[in-house]
Parts: sequence; C-alpha cells; structure tokens
Amino acid sequence: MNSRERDEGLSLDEWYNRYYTPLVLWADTIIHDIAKAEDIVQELFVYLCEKDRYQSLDKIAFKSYLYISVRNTALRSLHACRNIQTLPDISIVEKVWDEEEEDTYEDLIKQMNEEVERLSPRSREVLECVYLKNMKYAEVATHLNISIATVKTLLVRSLKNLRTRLNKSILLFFYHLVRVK
Amino acid sequence: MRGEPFDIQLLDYITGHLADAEYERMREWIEEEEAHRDYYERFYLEYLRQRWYFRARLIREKGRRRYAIRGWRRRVARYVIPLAASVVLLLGVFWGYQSGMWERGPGPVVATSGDIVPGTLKAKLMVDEEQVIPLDDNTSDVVEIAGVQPFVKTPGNIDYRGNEERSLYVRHHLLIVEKGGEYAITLEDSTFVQLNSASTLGYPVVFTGNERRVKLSGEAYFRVKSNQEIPFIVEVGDISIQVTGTEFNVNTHKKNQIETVLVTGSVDIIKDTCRYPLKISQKATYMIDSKEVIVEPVEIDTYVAWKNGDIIFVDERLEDIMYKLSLWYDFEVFYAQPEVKDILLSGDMMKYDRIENLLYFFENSSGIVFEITGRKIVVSMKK
Repeated sequence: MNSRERDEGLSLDEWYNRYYTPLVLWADTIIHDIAKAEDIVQELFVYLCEKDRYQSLDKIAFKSYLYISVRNTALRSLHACRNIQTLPDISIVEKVWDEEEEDTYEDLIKQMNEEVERLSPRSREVLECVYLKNMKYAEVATHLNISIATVKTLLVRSLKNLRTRLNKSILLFFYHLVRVK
Repeated sequence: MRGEPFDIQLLDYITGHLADAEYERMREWIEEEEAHRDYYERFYLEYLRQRWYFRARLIREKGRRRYAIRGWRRRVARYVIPLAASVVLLLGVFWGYQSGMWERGPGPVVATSGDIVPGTLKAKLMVDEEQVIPLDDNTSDVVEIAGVQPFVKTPGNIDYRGNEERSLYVRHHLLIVEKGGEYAITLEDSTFVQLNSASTLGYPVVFTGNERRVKLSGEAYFRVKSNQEIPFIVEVGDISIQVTGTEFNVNTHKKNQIETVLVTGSVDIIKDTCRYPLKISQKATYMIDSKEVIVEPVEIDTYVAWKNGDIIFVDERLEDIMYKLSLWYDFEVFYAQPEVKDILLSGDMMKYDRIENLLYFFENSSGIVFEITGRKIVVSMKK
C-alpha cells in the first residue's frame, strides 16, 4: 500500500496526528520560528474543522494541499526585508517525512540518531548552533573560534556523511524520481 | 558528487546566502539539465531532513492541544449531544445506561470511576452563629429569616433588593460557597457578585452610611452598581479594592497572591495609605509576603472564563491547574514525583464537563498519567 492510498480516507484528526510535526517543521523552514510555525499549523487545522470545510475539500491531493497552505501562510508572514531563500518543489518537501517505502518515521529518526552520533563533536556542535540555537554562520564561527568557511564546510560535510550512509533510501529516492517521469 | 566548494555554494543558494550574480548562475545551472535538477533536489531533501531532525526537538505542541480540544468539542457536538438527546427521550427505560453513553463516546484512558463530578449550584447562608440556611438549585422564593427577606427568583442567585433595615444596628450575612459549589448574590444596592467554589462573601443586608463595604475570601466576579457618591469597597486579606461602578474579578486562590483583574470601569487597589489605580485589561497582583503590588496588562478571558462556564489554562503549572480544578470538582491531588508539578500545560474545557475528558488530553499531550480512585487523583510521569 503506498502512501497515497494510505492517506485517502483519513479523518481530519488523523491528518493532524500524522502531519502536525512535519507541517510545523516546514513552516519553520521558511520563517525560522518554531512557536509561530506551530501557530500557523494550528490555525490551518482550526480553519479546516470549522464549518465542515474539510468535508467539502478534495482529498486526492490533500497532503500537497496542507504543505502548500502552510508555505503560503508562512511566506505571507515573513518580513519583506528578509533574504528570501529558494524553496523547493512541494513534492520534495512531502518526501522528507514519508518516503515511498515501508520506512516509518520512527525508523528514520533512529537512523538519523545513529548518523548524528557518528559525526565528529565539532560537526555536531556546528549543527546544534545552526539548527537549535538559530545562530548565524558568523556567530557560530566566533562562538566556536573557527572560520566561517569551516562552519560551512562542516555543515556540508555532515550532509555528505549522512548522504553516503543513507545510501539505501537515496537509491530508492532516485528510483522514485525515475518512475514518476 | 561535485566537490565541497560546489556543495557549499548550493547550500548557500538554498538558504539565501548567495549574492545576486552567483544566485543567477546557480539557478541556471540547476535548470540546465535534468541530472542537475535531480542533484539539487536530492541535496535539498537531505538538507531538510537534517534541519527538521534537529528542529523537531523545539516543538512544544502547545498548538496540538488547543486543536485537539477544539476537535474534541466538535465531536461531542456531533455525536454525544444527539446521543444524549436520545438518551433523555428514553430516560425512563435507559436511566441505568447513561454512563455507558460516555464509554461509547471519545473514551478517556484514565479510569472512569464517576466519583468526581462537576460542581453544582449550592451555598450556605449564614445569618448568625445559630442559623445556617442551605441553598441549592431547588431553593426558590423567599428565604425565611427574621427581619430581612432575601428571595431566590432565579436558581443560584440570592437577591437582597427591596429590603429595609428595621433594626438599630446593621446585620451582616455570610454567603459560603464550599468546594464543588457556585452561587451568586444580588446585594441590596443591585450589585451582582458571582462566587466561585471555595469562596466566602460577608456583606450587610442593607447598605447604610457613606460606603458600601463587603469582605471576600476566595474568588468572585463583581458587577458593581454605579454610585459616584457611595464607593463600593471589597476587603480582601490586608488590601481593599475601591470602586464606584465597574466589573472586575478578584481571586485569592493562588498561593501568596491576591489577583484583581479589571474588565470595565476603573478600580483602585488600596494597601494602607498607598493607592494603585487599575485600568481596563490590567491585573494587579498583591504579593502577600512582600506586600508588593504589581500591575500588568493581561488577556481578560482567561481570568473570567469561569463565570461563563469555561475553564481556560494558558501555560499554567500543573499544580496550579490541579488546585483550581480540585476546588470545582472537589477532589484531592497527590503527586508521585514533585517535578510533575512544574509542567506547563494549556487547554480549555466547559466547566460542566467530566474531568476525565480534560485529563485525557493532558495525558495525550504531555506524558503525565492521572489515576483516579474515588475522590483522589494521583499524578505521575509516564514510565
């Protein structure tokens, strides 16, 4: 059973339980503020449950609908002056949380845990500063007493490390890309 | 694999760190070939996966609870109310099955013992040391007391309007609302006071002289009849609240604090010779220990929701929440681990709901377990 078949026929609450976290993380990717991101997702679901709006919506591409709604609201709430980052296609975003294969999210997290454990302490520190503490590259560099170039290198290298080890899912990902076309 | 410098550029492109010219060059490169686009998308996917993996720890799930409770209300409206209506129709036959109705609804995981129920309309009217009159939702008409005749026209509201003091000294009555009760009173001057559970109001049966003075402990909502000449004074602990005509909420149920929240009009908090004026939507907190008064703006709804039949918590400590609930539902709380007390939770519910439904959502959203035995609730962390 692929994820599309699985998702059809879900109740709004089930959608909520399954996609609350990825939708918040997606909004946060754009606005860099978890609390506001949570508000955005919460408001979306409250909006959907009011006046039976959910019932009257087309469920076939509902997952995309959710990701797109969250993206649009998040973009609207951005300050005009911020650097606009390049956002990926929604089809990419949808894949972060659930791959086409059997892997559950818990498996993925377990895998990620192991990967992060294997990184050098420095790399982990950089990742934590950038992702958890929302620090700018320059701030991380000063904080850890390294150059900005090193910060970037460590970031990319940690991605690459993860990439070579997560080989299996990447192959499947390519397979998926080929199949879709 | 295209080499580290390239990947760094790609990361900068994704995160918006590239200057215009470089940005354009990267965009063109991605559009050039399908393989480039694939490389970019795969890179982006990994970037997101990594970012999300870290950022997921920051989610506090406050929103989840709010939606869950709203969603639950929606379900209740859809299934339980029609179900309840049919139960009422068949009341004679199915009386014994009424509790079963809840089990078929969104069933809580906490034990449904049924011993803990919402409060009801009830109070004790203390006329003097000898005469105590119980009041409940069946009490109606005139309450028999020598000298004065308060009446209960609407259930749950004892009314002193139209009384005259005939004796030489002013008599005082005491309206006592215990745990698990609520009651309201209309004083002789038409001032309306709604008392929450575990609260007591002392007042003269008739106001005479140049002030209207009452005494409160616990929590009450006041709608004071406007009278510029004769100020209305509420004595609470060692402060007093002076008003002419206004609406406000006073609460002494929090440890070491007396809270006054102003809804309309204006009030002065008076401590000895100091006066602290309060504006609309402000809260004055009097710290009993340090004898300080702190004035700050607040969201009024949270403080006065109880009088409209709701209970709202916004990021409150579990211990404070349970204390508040224990007054209305009349139960005792025990904590298996002291750390549990400091967990912050949000939620809202209708105060005539069963407590299990609220606890159920707390359990789902926090990792706390509630165990109900009789009128006791034991709170512990999930193992």
